[in-house]
Amino acid sequence: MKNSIIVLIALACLFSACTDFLEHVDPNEISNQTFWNSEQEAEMALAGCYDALQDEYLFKPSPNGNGPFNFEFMTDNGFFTVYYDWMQGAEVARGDHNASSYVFLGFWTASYNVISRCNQVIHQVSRMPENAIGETAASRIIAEAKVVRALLYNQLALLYRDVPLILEPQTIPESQQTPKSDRAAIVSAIVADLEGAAQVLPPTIDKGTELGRATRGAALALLARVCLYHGLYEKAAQAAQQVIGSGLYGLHGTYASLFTFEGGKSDEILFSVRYKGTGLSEGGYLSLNYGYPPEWMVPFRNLADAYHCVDGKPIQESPLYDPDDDSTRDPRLMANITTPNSYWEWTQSKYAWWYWNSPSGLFYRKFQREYNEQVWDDSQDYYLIRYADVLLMRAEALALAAGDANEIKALVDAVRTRVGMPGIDDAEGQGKVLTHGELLDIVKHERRVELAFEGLRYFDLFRWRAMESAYAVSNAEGLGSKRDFNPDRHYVWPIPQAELDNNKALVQAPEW
Amino acid sequence: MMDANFLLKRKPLALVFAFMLFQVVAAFPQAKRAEGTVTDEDGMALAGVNVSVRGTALATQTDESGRFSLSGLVQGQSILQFSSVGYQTQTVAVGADSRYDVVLKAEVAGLDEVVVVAYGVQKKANLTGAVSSLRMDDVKNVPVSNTAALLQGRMSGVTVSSFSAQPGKADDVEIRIRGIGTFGNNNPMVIIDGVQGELASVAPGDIESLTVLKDAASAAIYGVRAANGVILVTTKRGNDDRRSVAYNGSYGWQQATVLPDYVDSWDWAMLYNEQAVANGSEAPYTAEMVQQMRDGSRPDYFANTDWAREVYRTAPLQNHHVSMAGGSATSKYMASVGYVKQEGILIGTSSDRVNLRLNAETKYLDMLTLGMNVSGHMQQTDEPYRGATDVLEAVKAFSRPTVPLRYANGQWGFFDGQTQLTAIRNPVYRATVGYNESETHNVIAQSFADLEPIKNLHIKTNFSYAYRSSPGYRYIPTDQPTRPDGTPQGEGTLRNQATQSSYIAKQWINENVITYNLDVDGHAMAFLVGQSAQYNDYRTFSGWVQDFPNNEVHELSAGVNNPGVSGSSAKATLLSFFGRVNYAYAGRYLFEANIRGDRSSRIPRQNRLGVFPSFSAGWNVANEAFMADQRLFSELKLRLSWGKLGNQEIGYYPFSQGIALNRSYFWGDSRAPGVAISNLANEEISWETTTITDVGVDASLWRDRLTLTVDYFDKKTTDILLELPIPATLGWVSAPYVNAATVRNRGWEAAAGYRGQAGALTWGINLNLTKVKNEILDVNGREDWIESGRFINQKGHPIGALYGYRSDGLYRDEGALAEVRHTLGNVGLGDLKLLDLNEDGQVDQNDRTVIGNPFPDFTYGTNVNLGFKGVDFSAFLQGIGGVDRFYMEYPRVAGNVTTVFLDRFDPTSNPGGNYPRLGNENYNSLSASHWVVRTAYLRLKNIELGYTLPRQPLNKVKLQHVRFFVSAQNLLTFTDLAHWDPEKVVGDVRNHAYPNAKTFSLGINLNL
Repeated sequence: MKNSIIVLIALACLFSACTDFLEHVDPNEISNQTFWNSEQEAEMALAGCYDALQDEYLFKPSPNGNGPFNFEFMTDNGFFTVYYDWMQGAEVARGDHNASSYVFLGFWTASYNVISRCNQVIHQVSRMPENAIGETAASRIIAEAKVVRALLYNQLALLYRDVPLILEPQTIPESQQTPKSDRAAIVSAIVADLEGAAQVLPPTIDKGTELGRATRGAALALLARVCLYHGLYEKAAQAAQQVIGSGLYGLHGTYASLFTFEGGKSDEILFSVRYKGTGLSEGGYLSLNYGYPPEWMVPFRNLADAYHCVDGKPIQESPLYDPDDDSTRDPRLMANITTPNSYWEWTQSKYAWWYWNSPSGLFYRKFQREYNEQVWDDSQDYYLIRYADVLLMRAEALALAAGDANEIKALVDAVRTRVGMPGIDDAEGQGKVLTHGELLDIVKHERRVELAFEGLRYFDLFRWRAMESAYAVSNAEGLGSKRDFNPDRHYVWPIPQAELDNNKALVQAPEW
Repeated sequence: MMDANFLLKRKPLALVFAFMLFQVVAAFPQAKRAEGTVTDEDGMALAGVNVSVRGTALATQTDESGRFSLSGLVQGQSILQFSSVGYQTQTVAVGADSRYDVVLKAEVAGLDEVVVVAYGVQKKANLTGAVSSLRMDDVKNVPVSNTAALLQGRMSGVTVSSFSAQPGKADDVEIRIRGIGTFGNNNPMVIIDGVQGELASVAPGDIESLTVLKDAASAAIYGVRAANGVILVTTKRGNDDRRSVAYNGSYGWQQATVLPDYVDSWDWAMLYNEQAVANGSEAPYTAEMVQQMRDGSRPDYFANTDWAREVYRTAPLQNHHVSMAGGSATSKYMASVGYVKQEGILIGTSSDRVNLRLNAETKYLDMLTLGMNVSGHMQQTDEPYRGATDVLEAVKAFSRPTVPLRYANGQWGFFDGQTQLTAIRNPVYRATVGYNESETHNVIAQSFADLEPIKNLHIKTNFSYAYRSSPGYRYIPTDQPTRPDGTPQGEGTLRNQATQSSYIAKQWINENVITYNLDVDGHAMAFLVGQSAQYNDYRTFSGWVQDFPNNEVHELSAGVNNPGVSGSSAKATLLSFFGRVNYAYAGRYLFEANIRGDRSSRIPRQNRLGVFPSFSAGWNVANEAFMADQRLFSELKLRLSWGKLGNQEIGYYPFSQGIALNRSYFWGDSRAPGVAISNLANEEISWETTTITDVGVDASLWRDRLTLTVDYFDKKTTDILLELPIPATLGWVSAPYVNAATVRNRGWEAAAGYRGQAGALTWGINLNLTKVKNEILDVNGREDWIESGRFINQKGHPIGALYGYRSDGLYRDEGALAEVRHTLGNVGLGDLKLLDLNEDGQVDQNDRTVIGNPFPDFTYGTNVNLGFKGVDFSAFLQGIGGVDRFYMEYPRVAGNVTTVFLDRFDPTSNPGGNYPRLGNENYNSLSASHWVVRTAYLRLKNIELGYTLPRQPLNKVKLQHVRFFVSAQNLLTFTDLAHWDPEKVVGDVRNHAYPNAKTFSLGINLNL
């Protein structure tokens, strides 16, 4: 008996003395305290920032989320078919959304998810000791994080107008007391970030090992976009010019082949979100179809009709127009849209028998691979900014800032020449002098036909205040659910209700 | 007789029935007579006392004046037996006399009854805490595949909800003891033979006793794990000197309690057309198409399929349990095997389970007991490859009655003749093709030693080890939907895929306890000190691959493309000490104190130690001298207790800030291994504490015929660990646990039982009633936070209150429509009339309020038993009074819709319609009181009729006991709700939950 008690007491002491018994380290994660010790670790954290761009509410187009690609179908470019009216963008297009609509929280959260990862990198890397990371590497990593962060703030400031401008990692109590900043303050912060980054980032990178990382060109092109979106036209033109003047970029040989897996490596692509399939867990599904063109989101007819005939004339005026033959049309029509005349490779036929799946008879074709692969895991990069966009941004900025008309024409003509379409002087400008206003309309039209289904149209219509007129045109087609756009309210997105609930310092936009 | 005996030996069972018929005749050859009077100790005549002759069917009852007479007795052989409820049974041998006056002593067994409590047993009379026991006799034949379901409605303060009848889903039975005190895990701790476990691991037939510890005084000795209450299960042990073998079995058929009544295809097409037109599109179904639906002339193109009937079925359920027990004065054993096989009422769902157990112990030198309990269970659960919910969602949202189950060519139906519409998710197809199979293999081994060196001093040590492996196998075959003409079309699955996963959990616990009991001059004392160490870990692994050569091979090596793996692990440890002192004076004044100290690896070092004390006292009023002369109360006890409990169910590493791996990206063609913070940590996290005060009364009246227990409790949980929502500006990160809220559960509970006898009829009735009010007292200074848009946690309201707009029917005239400004959508006639609660002239987000209480007003259960000679009957009713649930008939015609939709508002054809107009789903599906149903129900949970064969013929064939029974579960439900079951999980807003089942069973109980 005595022995038992001694054993028992010994056992008890053993355990109580043995505090190690109660100490465990999470085997599934790295500890934040022991991280941030080498350049390699800083790069891992930076890769985490880029990773956050692959989000179904940002640049990983998906029927389940609602990122800028799906935004195209909230414009006059396309619509959600009735059976897919449950998709989140459809709610916005119908105009029956409110601050509780998940679409606004999804986009908001996804954007700030990228921002908070970038803030973490900017904060931590700038505090890493010199023996842990070289200054060049550190400043490059920080600059890249700033470019990525600016990409998101630019969209937030356009859509929600005033949002919290958070540039440092926040604790939870801090995040619950962060008020909105003015759009102007946000813009000036990201403009400064981008200007700084352009000083630091390398002009060229090794595409084999670094494609996808922000370069000087990416920073400048994004700077042009930020300035153009927020009314700083001269600065926009300058930034675009710096990109053009660098001579590092050009237009891809053929338009259609740019929107393929291989096209992602073209010199036309300044900045993209990378995807790598199949089976590598880093794929996307921009090219997703089921062997037939996707029927959940389809184009409006007025987009197809916006593609001129090869003589440069609109279909209403051109003698070449034949509704049953697309070969007389701007080749970008066939590249971007599947029409009843299109040939679909997988079925080795005209797709005509499938057309009833689209009320407009049209499907989007850009990025589509015409095979029945059903790949939810493809290698199609999402293009954030490409060179044609830079040319058109400078053209638009010049038109708005009363710049040189000839240069505007030359910029647009460069984009047209690649697809064999006649220049402005041989088309709209034939035999007359165009005003800056007319040139601006031409640039806007060119942006639409060139950049359709690249996730820019919604932002363009938003900043041009042209959404209600675009809705009027598309509503006239009588396809899909009826749409509504209230210009007194819908030109600013509501701050998500959940965010107002969780951050008491936030105030809803007065329109809501 | 010679022949008969010979036959009996040869074929005993076959002759049991024949013997029954003859026994009456056989029992009458002699003619001795006996008569007399039966009285109680006070000399009062007792009526209705059973007087029987042992081993025969001879029996009678005493009359009003306590008299009886019996003839046909054999002098020197017959033994008279006198029994009556509330009295000790007496026997008298029949001698030469013919007069037998008998005095029956009141039964005091109720007071000597012992109840299993933490680390031991306690005389029921000496209990000072709030404890309920399950009467195993009431539930032993109820066919369940989940042991937890047996508890429903049986005990006061214990609220059990059966959310579905899906086989093998342990989570579908929810046990809540005295409300919910926290926002995370509210499941009670289950202790089986002293070791933390789970109810599913023990077969109902193995359970000797099941006790629920409801207050802090009873449970505090379990400290940090006990805040949600404790369920103590003790399994059967062997007998001292008798061997026994028992078989209990049943076979039953289950059906859904209620099926939704979906509209016919022509009505569906009409509704769908209306919706399309309202949305600005053309009506897709032409009059001709609708006519073809009605006349069935083109069934491949325009069918009328009732998908509810197609996916539900009558499904069998069988239960078998065989046990053997025996022993000697020094050794005991009990071994059992149980088997449950349940097919689901939803096609594609089923479960098989085997339980095994061996309990053995032996005693050396009268002072050392050594023993081992080994048990295990194996379970296999089958589901459709995307789960049962996917099939139910397919019915509700992704299929339409216009599509046939199969086309005439034998292929699955996916399309109807309206070619613009996309493929449906054929529910039957999704339920039957491919599979998702999960298994559980669980072994629990426990060895113990109990040394009693001097009388009443026990030194016990206990080591237990539990191993659980849950592999999963999932296979998705390739497929291609086709149109009626055979053309392939739409979303198929081009790549078959197999996934295999593994989850392995281990637990060991070492506990060392010393107890000593002392009784000096009426001062009874008991002491307990103990120490324990517990270790838990788990490890998961999953692998998958695509593109198998065909749909017949499923092993991972046969797959060709896209292999992948994932895995994770975690561990936690707990070191504790505990002690208890009991003191009782003269069986009248009772006192108990407990303390437990826990140190958990889940809590950061600076806050690691949690101390949980409790105190309780009792006063056995009935034992006082001044009560000695009364006969009304055999027991009257007042109880008072107070104590603290803890909760550590907050994940494994809540305080360490980690950076998640696997946030990779591709730079060029090389993978950049990315990292990012995905969970925010709280380095200051500390214990959550529940304090419970309990006042109770136990009473037994009229010689224990009536028993009554009433408790009032106040349970307050402070520093509740919860994942308070955080601003989305922090990104897609999960919020950390913080010690933030205070919640109170206050209420009372009562249980009463009465047993009586009238002639040969014995009867009993038990009732229990529980009322709990759940209220959030404080949320860290916040007013509230909203969960998934439809639920809110708000100060002054219960946890997870239903949240949204208050509505008042529909807008029926333009005037009402124009009264307020609408900001929530395009509102028109026939839309929900949401109220402008803050009266600011517009209906907006600020008009939301609490629109429902997810907790029932009260819950109750009642059990009635009747016995008449060999026949027994029991009925068990369970119900809740008033609970709010969303029963949203989602206002969009996409999948099947119930007949409720036919009452949609239309300004001309149906201006009185109560269902909103079609075509404005976003607005009309807002969280509004329109969709909240206050349900109450009373359910005949179990009804059972049994017949026990008389013993005499059985004994001759070596059978101790044979009983046949028929039973039914959920046979009747009284509720106002149509289409759906009133018992459903609170988060199921759109009625996608697997329904409950009613079961009819036949069974047998057999003892050798």
